[in-house]
Amino acid sequence: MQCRVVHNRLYNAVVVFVAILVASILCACSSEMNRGDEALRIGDYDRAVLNFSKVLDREPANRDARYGLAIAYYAIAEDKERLRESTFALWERTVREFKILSVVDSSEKIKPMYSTALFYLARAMLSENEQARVLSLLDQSIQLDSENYFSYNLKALILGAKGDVDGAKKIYAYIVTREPKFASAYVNLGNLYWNARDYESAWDIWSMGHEALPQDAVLAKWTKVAEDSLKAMVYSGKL
Amino acid sequence: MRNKSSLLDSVTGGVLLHDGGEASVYLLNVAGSPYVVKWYKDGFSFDEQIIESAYKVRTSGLYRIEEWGFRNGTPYLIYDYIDGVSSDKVGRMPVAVALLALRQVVKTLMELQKLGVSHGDLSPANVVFTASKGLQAVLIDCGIVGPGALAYAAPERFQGKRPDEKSDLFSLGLLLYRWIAGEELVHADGYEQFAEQMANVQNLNISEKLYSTGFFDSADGALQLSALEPLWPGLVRSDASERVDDLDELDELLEIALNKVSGGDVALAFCVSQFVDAKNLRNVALKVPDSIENGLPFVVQKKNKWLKCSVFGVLLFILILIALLFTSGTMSFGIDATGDLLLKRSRTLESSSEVEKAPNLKVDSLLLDLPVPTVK
Repeated sequence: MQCRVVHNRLYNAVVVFVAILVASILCACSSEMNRGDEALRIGDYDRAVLNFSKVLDREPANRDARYGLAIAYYAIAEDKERLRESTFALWERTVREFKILSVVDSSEKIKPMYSTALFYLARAMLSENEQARVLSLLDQSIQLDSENYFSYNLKALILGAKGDVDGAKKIYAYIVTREPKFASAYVNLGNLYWNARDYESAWDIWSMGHEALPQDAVLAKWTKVAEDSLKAMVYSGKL
Repeated sequence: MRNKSSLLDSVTGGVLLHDGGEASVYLLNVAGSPYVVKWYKDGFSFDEQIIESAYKVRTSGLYRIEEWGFRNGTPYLIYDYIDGVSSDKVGRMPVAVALLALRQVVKTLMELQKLGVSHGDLSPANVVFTASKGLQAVLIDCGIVGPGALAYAAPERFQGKRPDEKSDLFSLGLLLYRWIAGEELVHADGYEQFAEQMANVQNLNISEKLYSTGFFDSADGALQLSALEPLWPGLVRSDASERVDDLDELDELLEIALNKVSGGDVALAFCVSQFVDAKNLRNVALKVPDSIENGLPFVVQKKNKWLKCSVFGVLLFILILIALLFTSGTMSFGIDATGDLLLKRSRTLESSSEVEKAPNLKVDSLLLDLPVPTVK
């Protein structure tokens, strides 16, 4: 109908206008997203933060920009970590960003990195204050990612230091069962036995770790020390 | 249904069919197919609501509307060309054929009534006979604004009332009379006189008038007048409440009358066939005009293909752009991949760190043993 023809032409014009508008917004967002992503990949984390923040100023719930900002903060904090500098404030910021991200993205995708950020935050808190209560953070970290053995390892260390040696041993045993290449768990479990003067068990653990990780210098060294000690004890009649 | 562009802009030929007081009617050639456009004159138009409803009715007894609207402020209506003869051109009709045709019209009106639509302008000029399936009466020109053809308008229509089922029933009575008598029941000069005559129409003795035509002075004629007798009091009444209740009731009366006069189905079919042949309904095909003769009341606007192409081009460009944005791996896929990369680097297991002293460790020194991300 002719009267509808006019409407259709008007409708087409509106559709074209909206499409151009949407395309322009997508272009603008996408170019900032691209820049942020590119900056992340080459290690220019401050620029990545800047670009992702621009997108979030327009769309605070943009999942990709949130994720980009969170991993940019994560990378900045991790860089400082390598320099053995204080990272508490950085990890706190990173965890806060992941917490916001979890509101707009409830998928499994973000959980491993969120879990690791919590582990680092717990460790940074302990570095600031060795009496800090971080077990709840570590439990949350493990809940987010049941394969985050760094969090298990730190939790076991804390339990061991608090006197819960059996609890710590169970965790270490769990780690080496699930991840036989996790060197620290062998070392720390062996230490527990060694400190309890159970040298044979310490040797068992370290040598098991040495067998699994022959390149690990610490395990090699302490396996040798334990072996020599056991031999000396046999020769001296103490064993 | 045309809602993208007007059929008027695809016209390649046209010729004036009829120039009436209400509208001019043209036969159009649109891509080789014949269409009719009714081009309304100043002060005349159609009821758009009725046209919209009639457009939805798809039956062989009703013209097929294709498009309606306004061109330069003038209302117009386009419908498929009907290959037939207007009933006002066929003269007097046999009673049985007239009753059969009227039943067809009634059936079509029932379909319209289901959508709450009344025709409003039933007259011989608005019924076209075609030779389809023997004989088919096709209604045209629904939705007129005004009383319609004065010689067939119900009294209440002269009072400005909208058409309804009852006013259509009145018009059907006058239409039937016209078909079987070959002339109109009411003759008058001008609006006021028609209004007055219609208001007193029940005073007419219709059977007597039919008899006076000289066509019913045989035994068969008497039988026909007798069969028609129950119809007139139910239709041609100035008081709408005295007319039959509805189209259904009229259809029943028509069926009874038709059974009385037809002499059976075979005789009826023969009678119809004779009528169709006599009126030459099978050979009325009109040549579709190849050129525009004597001009058309509208300007054929050739489609602006460049504009159309450019609009499509812009849309295509935008679509490609959006597709590229989504397929270039720079959005959600990109940031997720970067996240995976960083996590993998972060979680790379490294050798435990060297300690100098014997493993008589406390918490603070144990912390040194925590895995540290590699620089790799």
